Amino acid sequence: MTAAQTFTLPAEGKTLIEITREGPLFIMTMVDKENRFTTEMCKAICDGLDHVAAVVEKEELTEAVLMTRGQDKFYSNGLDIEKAFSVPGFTDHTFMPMLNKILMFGIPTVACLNGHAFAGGCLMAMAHDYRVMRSDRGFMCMNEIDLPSPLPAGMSALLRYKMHPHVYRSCVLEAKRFSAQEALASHIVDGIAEGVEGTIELGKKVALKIAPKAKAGVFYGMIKEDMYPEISERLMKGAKL
Amino acid sequence: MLSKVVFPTSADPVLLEITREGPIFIMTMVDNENRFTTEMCKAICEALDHVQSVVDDKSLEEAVLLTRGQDKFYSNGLHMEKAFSIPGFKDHSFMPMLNKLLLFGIPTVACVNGVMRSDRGYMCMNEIDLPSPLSADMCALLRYKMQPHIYRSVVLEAKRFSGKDALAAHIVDDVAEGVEPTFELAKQVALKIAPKAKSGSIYTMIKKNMYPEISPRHMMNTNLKKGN
Repeated sequence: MTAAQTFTLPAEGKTLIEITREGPLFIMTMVDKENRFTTEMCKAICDGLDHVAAVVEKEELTEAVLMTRGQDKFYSNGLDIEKAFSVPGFTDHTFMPMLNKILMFGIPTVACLNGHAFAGGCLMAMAHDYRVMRSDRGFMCMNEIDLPSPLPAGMSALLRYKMHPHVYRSCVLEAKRFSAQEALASHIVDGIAEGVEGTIELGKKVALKIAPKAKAGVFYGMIKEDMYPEISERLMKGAKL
Repeated sequence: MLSKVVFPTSADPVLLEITREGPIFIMTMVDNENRFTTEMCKAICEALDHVQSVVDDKSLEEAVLLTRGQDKFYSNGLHMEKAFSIPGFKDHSFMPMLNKLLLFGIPTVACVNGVMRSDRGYMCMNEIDLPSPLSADMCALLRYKMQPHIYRSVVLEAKRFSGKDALAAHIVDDVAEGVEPTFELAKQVALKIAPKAKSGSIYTMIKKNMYPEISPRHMMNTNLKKGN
């Protein structure tokens, strides 16, 4: 894709994802209001990832990075409770494999938390290699314990590998709401900035810095598979994507 | 439950006392060094069963277990003589007890009176100095709860952590000076976390998935079941 093109997904029906390009940056914007995960949303994200991977391969890019973001108030508010749970096996067949695809993606990934990242949205953010967060509004939170709802082993493992043990404990067992400042102090995000635009600019800075690691080619994804060995097995056990 | 319940229920000496203050179930280990023997592990497991049954019977939405010692020791570890004269003590008694505590169905707070008090005492894993092996399951428990560089120093250096060190290393959540203030602080922490008991059986379910490596064989419940 050229810099001017916007690639939207899904191909038919309501647009959920827009992919634009700025040099080595592939920017995936989730354009729905709360960006809640449904079968369609997960498929759109996976198709979007495949599209980016295809461009990187075709152009033999040695600098490339995926940036994801929402708009305004939400990065993502998690699973669409109604839609997700009316589909049997949604978590096992669709949502967890989508998380795994992001986790193991073949070029560096940066999540720009323009707003709230709750439950599934927090997991999506943590599946990325890097995170930046808006400092003046919004929280990261895993609120399953308050619903209450179980947290599958694959999702727990994803958090466990990426968080300090005491942060993991408070995140999962207390449903702690992390402000940007707390997320930064806890090392669950890499940088914070004021306002949506400020956050996106910071995200792009982080992304540009890490983009050259795409030169590792197939080794980037392979190295991540060996960094996070327990997770794939658990996230993919029921995969039907 | 207003009165004190002691464990073991039908033998001397008393090793544990359970009292209650609102949502807080306080388990006080009353022996001098609170060393782990078969009787001690069994008493702890029976006491945990007792607390769980009270929580379940009354469908409590706020509940928390607070454990503590008295004065100088929280616990000085395994009773070397008694524990090792029994083959398989670690596998049959000690590890299942640890596992039961790890996965307990309501929030748990350890009031480490011997060290969470900032003025005295240490946390230490001294197996490397004995020397003695440290089983994979015990290692996993530490590894799940400590940052990598802390875990390395705890296990490979037998590093002694003062209250202050433990706080800086994030292996305790807070410290206070003196036995009573440490207890008061623990109660504050406990009261704050007690409402998470509302999640019911999901609390343990979530913890099982948080700490999956701890061997399933240590999930064996070696305690007396109700009615036995």
